[in-house]
Amino acid sequence: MSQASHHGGATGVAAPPIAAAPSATAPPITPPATTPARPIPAKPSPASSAQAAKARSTPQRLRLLSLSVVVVGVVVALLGALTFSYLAFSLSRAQADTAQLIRVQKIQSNLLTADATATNAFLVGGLEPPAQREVYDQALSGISLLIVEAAEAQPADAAALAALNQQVTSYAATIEQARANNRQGLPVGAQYLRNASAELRSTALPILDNLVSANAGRATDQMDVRAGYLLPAISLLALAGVIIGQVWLARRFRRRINVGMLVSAVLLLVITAGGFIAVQQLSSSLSSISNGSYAAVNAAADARIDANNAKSNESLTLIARGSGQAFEDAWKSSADSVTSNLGRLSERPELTTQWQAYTDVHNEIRELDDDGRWDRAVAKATGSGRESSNTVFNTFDQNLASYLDEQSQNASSSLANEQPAMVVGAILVLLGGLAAALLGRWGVAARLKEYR
Amino acid sequence: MTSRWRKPILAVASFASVTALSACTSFSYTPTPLPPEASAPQPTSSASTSKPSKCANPLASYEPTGLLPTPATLPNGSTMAKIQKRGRLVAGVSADTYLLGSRNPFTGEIEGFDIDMVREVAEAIFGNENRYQLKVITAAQRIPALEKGDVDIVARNMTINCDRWKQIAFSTEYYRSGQKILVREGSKANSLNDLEGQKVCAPRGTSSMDNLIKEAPKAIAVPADNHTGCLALFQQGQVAAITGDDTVLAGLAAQDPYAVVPKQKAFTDEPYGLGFNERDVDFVRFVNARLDEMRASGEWTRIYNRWLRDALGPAPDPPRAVYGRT
Repeated sequence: MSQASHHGGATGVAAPPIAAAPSATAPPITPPATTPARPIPAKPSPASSAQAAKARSTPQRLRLLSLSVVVVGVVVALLGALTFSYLAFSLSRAQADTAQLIRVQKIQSNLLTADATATNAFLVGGLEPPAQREVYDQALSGISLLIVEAAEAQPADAAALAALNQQVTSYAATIEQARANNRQGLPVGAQYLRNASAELRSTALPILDNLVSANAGRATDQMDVRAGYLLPAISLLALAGVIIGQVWLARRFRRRINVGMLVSAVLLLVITAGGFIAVQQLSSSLSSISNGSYAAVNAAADARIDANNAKSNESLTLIARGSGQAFEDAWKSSADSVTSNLGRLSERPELTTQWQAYTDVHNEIRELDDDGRWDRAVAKATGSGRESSNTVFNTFDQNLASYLDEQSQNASSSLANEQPAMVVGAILVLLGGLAAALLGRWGVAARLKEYR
Repeated sequence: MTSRWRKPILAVASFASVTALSACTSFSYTPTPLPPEASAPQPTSSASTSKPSKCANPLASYEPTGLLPTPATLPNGSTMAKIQKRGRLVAGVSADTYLLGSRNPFTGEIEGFDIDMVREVAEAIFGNENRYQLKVITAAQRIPALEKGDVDIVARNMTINCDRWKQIAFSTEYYRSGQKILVREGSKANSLNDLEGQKVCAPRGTSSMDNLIKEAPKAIAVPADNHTGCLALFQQGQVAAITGDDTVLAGLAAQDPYAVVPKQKAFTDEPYGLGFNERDVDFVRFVNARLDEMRASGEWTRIYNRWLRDALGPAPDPPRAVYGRT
């Protein structure tokens, strides 16, 4: 640029009106003291005055064209590299956000598993079955680990996770108080259990709901890659510019084709089309992930959370023994949500069948209890036989959990699979843009040579 | 022309792209919001704002006709005969009012003073005190359960009053309770007046809560879902005292060695009666005859001693039967 304008200044004696642009930046009066005087190009032989003005301005224009082509190519190269790196970065964040989402959903379902187990064991009597105690302990220690992992993984969640940790500690303490009283046969034990469960639902679950929706929102935002269309848009503008330059060259020099400019234009065309296709491909594969494994993860996680919530309410209804209508209502609304979430997992109809089997057992329990045969209802709710609520529920829960794991891995690996292509894209566009710049410059230089 | 426009376009475009990319790629997320703190629950008095209706004598019930019939001589077509034919007496009870009606976690059985009343009635109908089925109901479900015929009888620390007589029938009074306070061991308080400025718990929406607000406006009323919920708050140090019927308080005190019901005069009268469907007058007369027998034979005192003596002291005289309802 500066070279061009300096040159313009040095040679531009009485700059013709056409060359207004360069002379504007460097006044023609500037004394050429520092610039070595150059001989006026001798080649254009027909030296009529009008033609001379035109001839003098042509090298300036050529230099400007050369510079512009270089700038355009470099901008496209950098912008392309930036865009593809951004997409790769966005994908890796979407993957991390999905992993965090799965983590907080796991905390939530562990918490409800713990609650369902504690309430169920409570129905048995003062001495809780060791196997159930173990399930409870495992669920709680799993929560501790997951909270620490989640806090490390996403600093933005740290405050919410700290608050959650407090609630979990308080929940565990109240459950222990319930246990201690229950072992002595005191009804206040049942009250502590109800308090713990109620507190869990009123304080801990809302925090988890926030965590789930925040991370789901982040993952969804990161999966929106429309910003990537900026690259083909800019590259298309660049292409238009190069084509105009090419046309100007063709007219000015009566040569149809300037190979450098042409190849440069072809490269820009490839970048435009390739960038567009790449972003569109990415966008469509992301939408198939978000409608596929990502949606499955969410539906399965929600189903599992609600199912354990329902299971826990089944026990609470029996514990309240007649005063438990509110818990049964809660069971119903959780169960409806499980059914609708399972409806979204059409590839696993057996999950719906298994859930149906559990709701059948639940209805039997309700019938027994409502008929005054509470003891038999409790036996069905707490037993470990094949037809017991625990066995039927566990079958469903285990299958759902393994399906959830599978889909979590699918979602994570699908997001990971898209990333290498973005890195390759970044490198290719960088090289392509630079090549367009150099080729364009080379092409223009061939014409410029004619003036030396 | 082209060169003149290309530069500004490029400048704007690259500026826009850099801005857009840096906006999308903000490197940290806004922190996950915490849910708003739940506000402390406000004490609420019971829903009924209407004034209690008056009647001549709420304690007056239907007088038995003659002697109590034996299980073999129940009158044909009577309510008792129908129950006998069904094979079990269905009673609505509480399962978390310790000493009156609560589940024993070791045996799984619901037991208490109220439950023994049900056993006496079963004994009178079947000659077998175990021929009963319990339905656990809430306080609010007592009257609807009787009206719908879901239960034959309600034995759930139910106060006899004029309002309820309009919907159901009552036996004669089988226990005289009254509202008292429960405090921590070592506390000098022995009436509501001594609890000014302190936190006192009562179940939400009950007459106990109404009385607390009315009798001790300077005490801080703290609601819980039921009396056991109050005990949990009391044990956690969140309230200084609990108020309720003395029988209920006795059940709470029995679960906590540091909770005591100090010697005090009850500030309300709560006469308990067994509840019936208002059409089952023959059944009410039958049960009243059984209650008369229990008062005379010392059975009432034995039941009192089994459940309440340790908590409430030696048995008073059984409440007197009042008749005259027609």
